[in-house]
Amino acid sequence: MDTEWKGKSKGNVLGYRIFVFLIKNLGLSSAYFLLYFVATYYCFFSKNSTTSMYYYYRKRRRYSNLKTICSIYKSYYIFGQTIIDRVAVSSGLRKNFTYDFDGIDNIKKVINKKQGGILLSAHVGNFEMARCFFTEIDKNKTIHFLTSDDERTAIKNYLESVTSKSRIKYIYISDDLSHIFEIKAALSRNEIICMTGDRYTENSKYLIQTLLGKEARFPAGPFHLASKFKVSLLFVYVMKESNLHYHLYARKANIIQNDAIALLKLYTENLEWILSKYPLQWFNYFNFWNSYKNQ
Amino acid sequence: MKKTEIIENINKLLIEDFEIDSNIISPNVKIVEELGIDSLDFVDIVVFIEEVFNIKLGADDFKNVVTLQDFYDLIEKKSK
Repeated sequence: MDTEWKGKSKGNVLGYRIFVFLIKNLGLSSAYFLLYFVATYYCFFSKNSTTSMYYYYRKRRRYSNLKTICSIYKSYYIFGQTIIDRVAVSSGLRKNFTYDFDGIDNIKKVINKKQGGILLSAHVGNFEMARCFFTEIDKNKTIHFLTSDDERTAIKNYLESVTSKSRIKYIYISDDLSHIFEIKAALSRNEIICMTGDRYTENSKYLIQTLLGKEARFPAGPFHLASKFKVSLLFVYVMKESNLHYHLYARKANIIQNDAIALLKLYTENLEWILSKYPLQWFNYFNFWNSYKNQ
Repeated sequence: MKKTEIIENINKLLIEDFEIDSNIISPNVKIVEELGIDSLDFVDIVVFIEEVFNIKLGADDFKNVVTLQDFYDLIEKKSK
């Protein structure tokens, strides 16, 4: 199994086409129903991701074997739901969902400061649903998601073709370093940059920090950028609470200028806090802690 | 700002912040290949240039920058 994320997410276009068809023609519940079978399939046939989840629940959360197995299944199911919800909201079913805003004042402060801001998240919950929250706060605010170039996949292209246009833009990390200037330019236009700090990719610089009692590698880039640029920083998570309800958490991070390691420590502490509330919504399906033999 | 000041400031950044040996710093040295400057270092450089020289740089500005001399020239041109 890989000890770092390879830059591509799971699934194929056909699978997504089926779910989009179900959502648009038969409703969300039909797509959720199909997920029971998909989650079962992944439990048995996606060995690498199941192994990584087993490690997370059994070793890091110290669950019993039975609770671990149940949690792996639930994790796949909830992860599937978050993808379905994303497509549903983008396809105009936004009103079907309810939301709680926790720390919305922090986001409003960042927007009102007119200095740009960075939102740092992780692959937990459903961060891409954040755009629903931002639409409610400021319809004209442009949000940029910093993402790997490898994520320009057929799946993403397909989903963009079937969903509504939003004020969300993507900044792709590229070898010519143009993304750094794009980030700087966006911040100087008082726009918001969203990025995740939990997936280290091969050959990139990394920092080491403890998460859930064991050291892991984190990408250095997000923490270096956030600690360098003099803008506000928030830790933001959008967590699924029930089938049609989401909860946004936005917490201010007190940055020590030029200290990426201190920022990473704050980040992991915050991540542990959110995971203690939503242990099933950890969606890093790879050997995150590099703690068992690769298969 | 005079060119000598530009060179002095940039060299100081390279030596003090990036811990590059002062002996290998010369106008013809290649920034990425020989000094080992990477993307994260570029973040520092962009922030430094903005603060010290009060100029904004874009990705296009760096297209023809290979050596330190190219970089000195760029800053001189932009700061005029």
